[in-house]
Amino acid sequence: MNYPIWDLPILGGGVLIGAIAILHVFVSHFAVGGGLFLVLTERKAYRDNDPDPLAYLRTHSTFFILVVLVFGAVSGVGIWWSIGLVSPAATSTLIHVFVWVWAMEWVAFFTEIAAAFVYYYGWDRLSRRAHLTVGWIYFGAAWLSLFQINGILTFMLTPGRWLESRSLADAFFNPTMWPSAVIRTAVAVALAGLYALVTSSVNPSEDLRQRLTRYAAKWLLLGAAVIPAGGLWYIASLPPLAREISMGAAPAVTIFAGLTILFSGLLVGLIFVSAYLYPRSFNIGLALIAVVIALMTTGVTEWVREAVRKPYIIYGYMWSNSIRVTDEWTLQESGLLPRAKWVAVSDARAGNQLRAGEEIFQLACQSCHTVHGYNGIRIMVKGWPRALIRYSLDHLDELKGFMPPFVGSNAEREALTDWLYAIGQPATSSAAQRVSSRFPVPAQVWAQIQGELRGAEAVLERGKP
Amino acid sequence: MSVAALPGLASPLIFLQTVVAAIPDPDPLPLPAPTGVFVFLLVLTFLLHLLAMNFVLGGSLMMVFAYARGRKAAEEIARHHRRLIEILARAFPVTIAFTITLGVAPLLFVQVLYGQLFFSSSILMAWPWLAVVGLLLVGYYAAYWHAYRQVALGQAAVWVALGVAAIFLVIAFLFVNNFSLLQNPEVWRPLYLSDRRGVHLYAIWDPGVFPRYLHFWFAALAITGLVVAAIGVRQRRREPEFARWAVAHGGRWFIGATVLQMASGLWFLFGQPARVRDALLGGNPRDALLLAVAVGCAVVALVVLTPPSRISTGRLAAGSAAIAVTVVLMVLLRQRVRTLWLEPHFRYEQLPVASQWGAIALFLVLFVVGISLVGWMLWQFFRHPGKASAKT
Repeated sequence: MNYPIWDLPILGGGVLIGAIAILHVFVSHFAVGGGLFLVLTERKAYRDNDPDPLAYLRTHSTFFILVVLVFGAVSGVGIWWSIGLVSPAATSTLIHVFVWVWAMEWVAFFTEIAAAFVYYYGWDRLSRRAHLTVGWIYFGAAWLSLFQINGILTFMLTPGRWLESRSLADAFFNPTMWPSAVIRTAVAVALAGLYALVTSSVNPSEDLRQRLTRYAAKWLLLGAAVIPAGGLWYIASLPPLAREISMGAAPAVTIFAGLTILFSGLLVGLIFVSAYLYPRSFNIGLALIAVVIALMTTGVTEWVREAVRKPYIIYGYMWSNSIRVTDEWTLQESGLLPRAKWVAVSDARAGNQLRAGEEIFQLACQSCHTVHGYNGIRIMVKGWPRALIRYSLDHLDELKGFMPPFVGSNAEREALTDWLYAIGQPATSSAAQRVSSRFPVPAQVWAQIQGELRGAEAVLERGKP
Repeated sequence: MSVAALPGLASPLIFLQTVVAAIPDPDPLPLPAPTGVFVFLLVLTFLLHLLAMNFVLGGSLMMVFAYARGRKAAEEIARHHRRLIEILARAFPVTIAFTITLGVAPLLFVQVLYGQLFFSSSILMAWPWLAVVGLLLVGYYAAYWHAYRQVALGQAAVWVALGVAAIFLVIAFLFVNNFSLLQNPEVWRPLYLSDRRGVHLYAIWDPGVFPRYLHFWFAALAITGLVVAAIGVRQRRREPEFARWAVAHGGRWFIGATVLQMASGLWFLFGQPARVRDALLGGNPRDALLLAVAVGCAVVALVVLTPPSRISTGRLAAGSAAIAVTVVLMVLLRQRVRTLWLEPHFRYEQLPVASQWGAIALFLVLFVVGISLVGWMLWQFFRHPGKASAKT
């Protein structure tokens, strides 16, 4: 409405953000856990008076720097870039509520980067004690950064009392903040183990390799052991609708939630058997398989976390399509087009329905749907009679709990219906049957649909030679 | 620029209507601090970003020149060039990291003060803008590669260095594009309605972007020249021949780039809309004074550092101090110019404010703690230089 809408065909903005975000999550959690791994392993080596792991830690810290400081930092910036392009209104909300949390996170980020370099370049320059302290500073700053971003992220799903109080403390210490912080910390520890399995698996010394493999496996298993408890706590803190969506109301989300559990189980099983029980046989190939499974786990989990937030982008405050909940009634009255600043037509009227309909689609639907690609609307309405399209537009939020209500004037509903009908036609009775079997259609609407279908068949008949 | 050439502008009247309609409303949520606080932090953190960025941009360019010149020069000079390349290359992993880190903060404050403008201009150039992230990733890894595998790379090192420089130049160009587009809301709507896929590069519509871009080039080269001269001063005991050469070499770069900077500055100034230009040339005495003192300090630095073959430690310090004043004033002036450009459309002073004083206090505490920790770590790192294997 307020902002121009980036037309991103086929892919859609959500997929773009998701692709960047999943890779970032996979690396940034390692940035936190990996820091703890470095400093604790270094301390252990000093205490055991064992120089071998120290040599390994140096190589591991090079790997750490290259992955974390470059990819981790830049992909984090990438998320910020992409959310601003795809969801400017929601990004603006987050910036306004949390700019000081972000400013504090920036301090943590800055300290973290400085500590990483001093740690990395300081192996030979710093005393053992100072080097360990720098390692702790790194981990502290990195974890603080996780904690702060976690507060902002969880706010989007459970803004809690902020909706009334508008207080920063309520926004940050929201209902899912603590369980999510526990889960993310545990994930960070598990990922530290996973990445260490990769670097230790190529260690030339047979004995050290086995020791490190079992040691790294313990990290992964320990982190993984905490996740289910955090997960239950998290699910218990979710809004009821979000819980329903993840547990049956939206089949795709339920499947993905199941995959999260399946992939995690697979990963834990694989590491427990191959790296913990039989570290001798563990190798880089298995480590990379584990990395792929872990990446898939991250992918489906983050996808579910995003999906359960529907129909909102900020729960109870802003719908998925960036329309504020409080603007709903005004827009119903005035219509979307007269208020939209970036459209080529200023209202829907006879003669411009299709053009207006397409503009309305951009404004109200394109944040989740593309036309021909991801979550493509053309396939979804293919064969739908016009009356069915109109009926479901009027009852979007009731028919599909994960969709926001359609807001807009009556003329705009008509225009959008016309456009959707135009891209999905011809109407078929099989499509009508299929759709109506999924949600109840009142008798009156059903009669309209039947009439429409008969009309269409008559036209078809007449068209035959 | 020729606005009439843009599609969708039939008459001046329609044009005015579209201008008013196409600027998004500011966020209804209030700003969590007085605007002055955000402006101060924006200017301060941008200044810090600029120093690191200048070294990355200017250093990567200078590195390419050093490769080129080193090939043709006599062996002694070529050796100095190689040493310079080595020093610059080694510094990149850290300086790029801090360019990014220090860049995050001003971008945050830009989004809180000018969010509705920034998001709009970014969306208009969505693909090129998103490309910044990919380019940065490639350029950053390439810089690491060049720093640590320079010897192994052999002849190919030149090409990697060239690639790094080219990538940073493109990133800078995209930034200048976005921030020029940001302050010119009048062109947004026609650009958007002509193509909504986020492919607009503003420079195509407004050649006024180029002097601004060049202004960053020459600033970067001038500052890097000073840094190279300072490296020379620092290395005087350990490698006297190289040090002498580096001081003069850095000085020459500074002088050449600063002279060109003044030319690009004039081009930039006279390309401004009359309203802005007049303010800077006396219409607004404060702005004019800012500009005059900034340019004056640059002239002082030029005089102090000429001839470059005779730069002493004291003269380098004096010249650097003068240029530091120029940089600070220019950053302030940049903020003023943006305000002047936006005046007809938007004033951040009118935004609603509901300060989060508790959070601001916490930020300040954390900031002090963070700076102290970084200071302590740097002290630990540099206090035993003799022990350094400086192995990287």
